[in-house]
Amino acid sequence: MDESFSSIDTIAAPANGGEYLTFSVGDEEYACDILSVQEIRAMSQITPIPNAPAYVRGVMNLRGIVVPVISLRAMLGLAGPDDGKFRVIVVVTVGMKIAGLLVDAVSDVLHLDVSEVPLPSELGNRIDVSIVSSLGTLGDKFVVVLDVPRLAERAGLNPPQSS
Amino acid sequence: MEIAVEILLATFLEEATELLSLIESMCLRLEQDASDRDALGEMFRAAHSMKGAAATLGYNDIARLTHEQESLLDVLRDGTRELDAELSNILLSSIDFLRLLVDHARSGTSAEPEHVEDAIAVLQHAARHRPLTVGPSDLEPSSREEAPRGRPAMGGSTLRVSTERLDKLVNLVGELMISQSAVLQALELPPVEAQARAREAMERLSQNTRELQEQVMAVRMVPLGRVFARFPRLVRDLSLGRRLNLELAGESTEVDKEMIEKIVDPLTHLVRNAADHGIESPEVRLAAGKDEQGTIRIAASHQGGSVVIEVSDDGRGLDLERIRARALENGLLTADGDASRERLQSLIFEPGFSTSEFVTDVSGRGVGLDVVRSNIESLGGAVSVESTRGVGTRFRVRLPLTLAIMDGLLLRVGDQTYVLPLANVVESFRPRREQLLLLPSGFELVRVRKRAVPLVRLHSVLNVLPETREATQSVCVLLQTESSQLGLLVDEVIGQAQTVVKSLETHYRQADGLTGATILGDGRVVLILDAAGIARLAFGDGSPHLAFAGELEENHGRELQLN
Repeated sequence: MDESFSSIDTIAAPANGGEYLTFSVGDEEYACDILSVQEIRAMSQITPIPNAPAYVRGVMNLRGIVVPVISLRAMLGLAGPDDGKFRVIVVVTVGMKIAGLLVDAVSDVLHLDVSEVPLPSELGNRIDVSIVSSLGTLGDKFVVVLDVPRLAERAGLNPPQSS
Repeated sequence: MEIAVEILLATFLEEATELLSLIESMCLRLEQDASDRDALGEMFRAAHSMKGAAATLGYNDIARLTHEQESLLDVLRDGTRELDAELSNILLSSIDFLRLLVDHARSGTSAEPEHVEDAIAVLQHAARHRPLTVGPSDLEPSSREEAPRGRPAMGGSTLRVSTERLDKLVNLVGELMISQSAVLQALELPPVEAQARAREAMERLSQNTRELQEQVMAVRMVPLGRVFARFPRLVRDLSLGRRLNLELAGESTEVDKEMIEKIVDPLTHLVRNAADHGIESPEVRLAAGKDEQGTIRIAASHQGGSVVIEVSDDGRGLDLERIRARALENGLLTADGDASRERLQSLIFEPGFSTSEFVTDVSGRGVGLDVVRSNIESLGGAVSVESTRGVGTRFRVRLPLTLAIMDGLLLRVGDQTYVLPLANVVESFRPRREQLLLLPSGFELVRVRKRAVPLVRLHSVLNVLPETREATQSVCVLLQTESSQLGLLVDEVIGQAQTVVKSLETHYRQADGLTGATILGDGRVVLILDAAGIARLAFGDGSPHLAFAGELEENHGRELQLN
């Protein structure tokens, strides 16, 4: 009971905190707003799209819908392959679009306090901070909170309607 | 209750659009022959139904305006006045205005009251046979661009389906359920019998499924006449003092509903083009010994698995010399490159080709034929042009029957599987060494029955790892695009498959060389290749394909062994 109450609280809570899905890529912990997460899928077969940017791993079959799979590792500008043993696809929705985010492993659904302090410049040396919205704190640990709509835009999911 | 009103409204909006089109086409018929009583009767009835429906639903502006239309038609009917150019302009403008009002009703906005009053006044004056105090131009919606024509109805578009088709569907679903229970029953039997019986029942089930699929697709089919219906008015408006004759053929040709919505713009562009650039002024025509009246012909037909729509005119035809000059300027042709007739003609589809001399207030909207081509290609179709100077021009648009289901050929390159639209595939064969040629520029050719066809290695276009780079170990799939043939080198042809086309754009975006994706029986996503797009990928942006064709001509007959 306690849990369900707290989750209602956090959804209604102001922008400085809320429920987040946390996952790991490389050595870092990342989080995204739980409301933009549709589901979490085990790694499934991905069909590569020719000549697409490296972060677009391809498309997968999500119950009859063809959705793109984006490598978060590549989006963040981190080196190394994303073939971790526990990798999963976090299916997110942005507007009408659905996309899969390939991450090394999912960790938890947590309430995070999101700081309004500027991102430490040191972070920018390691990852592409343009898709980061803020830093969350979890006890004495920092979690990088991703801006999912911005991420989708950067991944080319919402290009200006050309036709 | 609210739902009922919503349904009524949706029906009204749809009907109103149809009635207005009917009034419009009858008005145009009456314009040709003022004594056509049937046309007048039809108009009268349509205006009357519209008035009644609008009044019931509380669209008073629409009701009042149609009432005035009726009064005007009454004057025509009792013979006090005949439909002349002035009256027909007034009637047509009032139809445009009604369209605007219907659109307002659809979006829940309202029109400027004084515009409505003006519109009513114009009709009243015309009916009372008094001189006009308000010119017909005042009647036109403030901006012509905003005047909506046949936009898809309300948010989720609706489709009318004949009860006959619906009954067929219901019957098929009934059969499907019987077959399904037959399968289940068969499985209850002792194992020895079960297999044979279940197999038999499954066969019937798959037969039913196929039929159901066909019938469901048939529901989506609508006659092209719905698109053609707008052209008489368009041509009339574009005639600008000339006499233009419009011939329509094949209106009953059916295509997918989604396709209908998407080909309106390209076709409208081609018709505008014909009226604006194609047909000459009466003086020029008479001087050339032609009929004073120019003719635009739109004809649709089914040809194999596709629909072909031809838009032709008997106008001045393409000026190949001007095209050549322009192409030299743009660098689309090299000074020494001797371009063939077909090549020059196809240049008009290149981006930025609409020359300033071509631009007039009618067609010069900054949108060229390149947009027409890309629109049509995005539908999986192709467009070509054929023209004879002084005799006329014919645009040929080839479209697949449906966007939803496509017969495809499954291919493999390395560990990747792709689908090619079967409609583009001519044949496939294993090339022999003596069929292969290498041009100095690095382009490869494959000789197919005395013709040299450009050879494209699919793996290099798509940047995937092939099983073999040795052409004689691969399979060459000969593709036909509207303008040219192409040999596509792949590792293996797996076979044919009927595929349900899924757009990549829905959740990702359009990708070069691809028309979409499909899901195979095993759940795998497989990409569908776009033959014309592959050709463009292979020969770079724009269309160096054409430059290459030049080289092809120069080297025609020259044998150059690979390596």
